[in-house]
Amino acid sequence: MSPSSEALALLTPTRQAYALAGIGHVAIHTADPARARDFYCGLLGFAEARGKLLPHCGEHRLLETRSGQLVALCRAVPGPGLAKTAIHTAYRLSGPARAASLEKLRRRGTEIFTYKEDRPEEAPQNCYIHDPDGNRIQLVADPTLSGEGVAGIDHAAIQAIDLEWAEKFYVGTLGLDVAHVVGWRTEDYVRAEAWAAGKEQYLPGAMRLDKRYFAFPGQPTHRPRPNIQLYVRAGAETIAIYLEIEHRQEPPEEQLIGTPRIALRLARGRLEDVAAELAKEKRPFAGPVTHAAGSPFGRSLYLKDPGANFLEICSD
Amino acid sequence: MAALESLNHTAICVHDLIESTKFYCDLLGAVPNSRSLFQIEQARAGVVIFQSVILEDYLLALTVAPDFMPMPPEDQLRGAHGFRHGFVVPKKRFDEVQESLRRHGVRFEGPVDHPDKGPFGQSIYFKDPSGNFLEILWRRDENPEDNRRRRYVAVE
Repeated sequence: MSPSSEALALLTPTRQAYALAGIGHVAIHTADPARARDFYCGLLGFAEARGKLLPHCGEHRLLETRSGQLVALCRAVPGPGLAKTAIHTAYRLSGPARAASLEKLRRRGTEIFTYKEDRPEEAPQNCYIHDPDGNRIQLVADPTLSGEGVAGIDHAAIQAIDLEWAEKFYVGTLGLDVAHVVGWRTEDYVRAEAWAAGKEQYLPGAMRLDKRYFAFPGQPTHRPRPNIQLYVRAGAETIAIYLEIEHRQEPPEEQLIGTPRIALRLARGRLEDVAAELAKEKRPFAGPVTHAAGSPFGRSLYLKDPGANFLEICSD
Repeated sequence: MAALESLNHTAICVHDLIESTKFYCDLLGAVPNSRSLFQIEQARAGVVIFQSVILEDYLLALTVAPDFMPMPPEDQLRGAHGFRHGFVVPKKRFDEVQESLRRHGVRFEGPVDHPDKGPFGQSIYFKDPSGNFLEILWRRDENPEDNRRRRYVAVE
């Protein structure tokens, strides 16, 4: 009567969880690492991790949060059209720390964006800015926190050309839990209509205007829809995966190490398990790579997800 | 006159694709077939979001309604709100189906006895989570020796 179904099983992890402890670091692009460092440290409250560098990040400045999570500001040309996408990184701060950062940003003349959130738990966190290179930043006030500075990375939002592939990879292969989905319910379409009518503002990339499959005479040729989204939980952090709005140039297929990149921390001793699973799934990866002394972590696997986003899985 | 062979599939509107897919698959025993709108090409082509499921040999495309549909009162379990899908089970599994619905907290009306001379034996009536009417019945003219399942013909 109730055969378990593959597609439904994908909504819950089908593999043994690998004790992925969350996001360890992110690498983002900047045309000028020193200028970006000044922005992140001077206005947002990051600390520069002096004397530390991350493997395979090219020329970069390294920032540290209170949790120990790292942000590498890598010298590279930020991708075109970034502002039209939902790609962003969210950082967690105490309420007073976020208020202090926002005040500094306002005095500097930095535009602060507020959007209607499509993930309920982010509703009080609708506070976005752009860094000098156009990377979108979300500042998340955590009521459980106190103190100054940036407490940690809260979530990272990326894009994929196929959300079903993304689900198979992040949930099926890596064993992450689904935290939320958008675009699967009528209420999401009702909100898209409100967005198209100019009644509500959403994060760029959260809604889309696609041509109709067919249109009756007199009917609009395009219609607003939610952009399909999948949120997966890695430890205390979340990765938000949005369907791409437009095609983008992907890195060469054989390139497995690159930036921008999200690194997931893994419990010691499990890297081989993940490598075996990736091999079984025929997903190319590089490593395990053993890092030189002085690296913040000991070994890493490098790969791309099915959406060609660079990933790193690192452990002590 | 068109020489139609059989009814092939139905696209029905639902309000929650996850809830509906779980209902049809986990409760009624359907098997997921394919999804649409999860790829950029499909989205740009304006394809609607659906999850197709195969119930025995019949395909249902569970399609997310772009607006909330007026639905019959919650306590109305039997009717035809535009349409009703009726599915057949062997008589020997009819009690098992009812027990499964009870176990999953799905309210149903029946079993309702049909006229002795008709092809239908008994039916139960209920709704899916979005309010679409459903019926499960057994037929008096079933051949208890025939355990074949008709092969599904894909519509893709």
